Amino acid sequence: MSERTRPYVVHRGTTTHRVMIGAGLILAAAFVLWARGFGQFNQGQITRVMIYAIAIAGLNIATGYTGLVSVGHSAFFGLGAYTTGVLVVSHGWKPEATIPVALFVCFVVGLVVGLPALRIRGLYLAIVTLAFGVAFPEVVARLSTITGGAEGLTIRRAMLQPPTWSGFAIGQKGKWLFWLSLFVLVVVMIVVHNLVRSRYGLALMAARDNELAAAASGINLATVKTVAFGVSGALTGVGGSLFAMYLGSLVANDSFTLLNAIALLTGLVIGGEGTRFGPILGGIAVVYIPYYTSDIGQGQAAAVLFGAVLILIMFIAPEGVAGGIGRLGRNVMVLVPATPKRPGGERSSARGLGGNSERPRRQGQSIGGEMATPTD
Amino acid sequence: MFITTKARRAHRTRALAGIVAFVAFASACSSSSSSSSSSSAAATSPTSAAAGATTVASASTAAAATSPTATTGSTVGSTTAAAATTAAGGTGAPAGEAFKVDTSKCTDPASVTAKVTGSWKVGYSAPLSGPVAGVVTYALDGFKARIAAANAADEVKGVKIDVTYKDDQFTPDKAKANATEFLQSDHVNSLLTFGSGPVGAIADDQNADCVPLLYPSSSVQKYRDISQYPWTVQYLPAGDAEARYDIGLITSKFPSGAKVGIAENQTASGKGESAAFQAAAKGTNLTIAVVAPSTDPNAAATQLKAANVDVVYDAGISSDCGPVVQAMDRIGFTPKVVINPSNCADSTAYVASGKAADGNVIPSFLKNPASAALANDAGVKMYLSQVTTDDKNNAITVAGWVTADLLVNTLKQAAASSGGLSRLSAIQAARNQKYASPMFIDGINWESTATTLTGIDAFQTTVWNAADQSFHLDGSLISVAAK
Repeated sequence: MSERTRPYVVHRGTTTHRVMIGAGLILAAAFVLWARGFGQFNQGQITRVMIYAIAIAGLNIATGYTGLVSVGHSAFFGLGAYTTGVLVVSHGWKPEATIPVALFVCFVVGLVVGLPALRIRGLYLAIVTLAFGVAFPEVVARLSTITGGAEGLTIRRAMLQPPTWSGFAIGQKGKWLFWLSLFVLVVVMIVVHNLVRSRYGLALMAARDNELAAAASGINLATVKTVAFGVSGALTGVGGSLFAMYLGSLVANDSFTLLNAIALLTGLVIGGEGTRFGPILGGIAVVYIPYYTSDIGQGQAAAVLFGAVLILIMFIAPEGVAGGIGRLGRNVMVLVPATPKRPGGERSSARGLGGNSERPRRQGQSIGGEMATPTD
Repeated sequence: MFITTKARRAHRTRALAGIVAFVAFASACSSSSSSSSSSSAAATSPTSAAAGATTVASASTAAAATSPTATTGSTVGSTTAAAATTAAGGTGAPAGEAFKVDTSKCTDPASVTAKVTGSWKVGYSAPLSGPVAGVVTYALDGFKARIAAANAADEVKGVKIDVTYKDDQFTPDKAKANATEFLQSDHVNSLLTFGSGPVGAIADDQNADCVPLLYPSSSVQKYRDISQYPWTVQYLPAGDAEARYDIGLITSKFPSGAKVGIAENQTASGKGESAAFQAAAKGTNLTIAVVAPSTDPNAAATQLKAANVDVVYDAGISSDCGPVVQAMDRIGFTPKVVINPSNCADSTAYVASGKAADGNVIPSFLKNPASAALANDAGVKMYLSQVTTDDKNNAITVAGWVTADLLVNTLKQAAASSGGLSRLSAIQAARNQKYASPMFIDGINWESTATTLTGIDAFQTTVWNAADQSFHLDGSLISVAAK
């Protein structure tokens, strides 16, 4: 009886792991260098992907990592956009200077919106967030003196002048926004990565997976959930802030409706909830799937095709594209946490010494005292 | 514990996946179903292009029966007849002051004045899919038919109009992406789109590139500012223009003044209509006695009855047209006049309201191709010879046809100018129009000058008759041109 091929095991922090990270960074850098030469349209599409990725990364904190299903994140997206719009149009702020303000405003509002999460969860919480999302355009309409009401808020082209130090002229504002979005996306990715791997991140996932066990372990569920919603809203608001700079025209009834919330949720589910790279894949899906399906079958056929593609993706990879790739990838290679060192400096398992990778005895079997946990 | 956790995550993921799949399916279904719906969607923002058209069963005025070739007889009130209009949609532009625009700051100034030969490329960003796709399909049927006829007849003298369509799903950011592709990759000569959101997303870029946005179905006031958006010419009547019609109609019926009540829909559209109406009423002898939110039609009806108003203006969207009237009927309140906005052009709501809707008034400006009274109308004949799709009698299809007709007329006028057809001459022609499209109700013109975009210069009153369940033209045209 032939033995089944076993995947390679790579420990975090080993040379192999670092080489893999380095290769990934080189690939990403190569793509960015390639994309910077794109024409205005294609670069604009990449910018949209990054903006949606940032927004979805925010949603991922609440829904993916904490298990708080939100179908009203379009409101945070819109709030961030209007924060930027109002500050730029009415107060003459530089667009990029409004990003921290949008983050703060959305964080505070996120804390408030997250309060119901202390008492309810699941579909009930989804309904509460739905109300928030539905109410947002109406609130914007009522605050017409600030937001422009029904006619919306227009950020004129001249107001979106790239900063002098960037070297970009007004005609190159698309390129400036591309680099700005890239920078913000990288920062958001790092923040999310560190957040998820921190004690607080573990608390988020514990609260998601088993509230009772988490509470019994000393986790303050109220704080964890509320702050998760705040952070989630803040990151999505940053995406909204960039969206305002991209679009230049804010009409709440058109851009920040329930359909927008569904788009964010769709991106998260397609990309892969609770994964680091899911939001980026989700951003790609939100921007490019409708674009190509509409090219293939114009008109209502495109809508049917789009729906079919979504269903197909969900059928093939119900855990999302990132999760699907991770599942397939684990057939080849398994990434496991670094083996803790003993006081003497030696690793706890001889198997970890001198080698960066190995073949496990059996998939899922305890290695070096730790379970091979699926991570992305 | 590990298995339990994984199972829970998988369960939640499956639930979310289910939601997404359901939404995708529902979206697809809504697109499909909307395509087969009636013109009820005329009240939705992108489709209010059709708002001016009603299912007029018979013309009660002579004007409605006259041919568009007539240059007299359809002039009513302060509205002047079209100058030298022909059934073939001939240009009727007066020799006005030439529109001057600074092209030196355009992204590519040389391309602005470059003569266009061979084909005039139009980039059309439209909701080809999504919730409003169905009704937009009607408009595109009319639009495509008029463009095809113009190309077949070589109306723009050696230049074919080549339209490329891209789907924006009625979302501004997709419309912007489409416009960017049109401008940067396809190098189109003019743009077109649906709805105020997409117009807002496009306007700055197309003005910077000096590419005309000709006759999008929107009526946002700020984009009517010629000094700020010289390259943007919207099609739909401005909200304040319709308000002027409403006030003009009321003052004509109540010369010594009247008490008016407003049933105000609590959406942006409803509040905008209400604000425009109240602004237009200032300085007249009309008294706005009450503004009643129509969220609860029964409460609104009670407030209106308590104020004992003579006239009720329903500042709402199509879904309000029936309920408010029915609520007033239930409590036995019958105002002397009920005026609905032009987006209440769908007869379904009136039929559902029964006798309560009898006498309701709405403004219109497009001919109804199904009207027996217009069977011999040259404009209608021309329209029906070009539009052969099943939806040819739909008001939205007529609106789409008229949009294309305005575009064709503008390009013809530009091509006939001394410099020939270029982007500059096209916008100059668009800013120098006095044109009676064959499908405008006779006497109504499209007006645009170097300093003012009037658009539709008059409305025709139409009144709902509950007995025969149809609209009837009533009285004369009421000018809405700014004083």
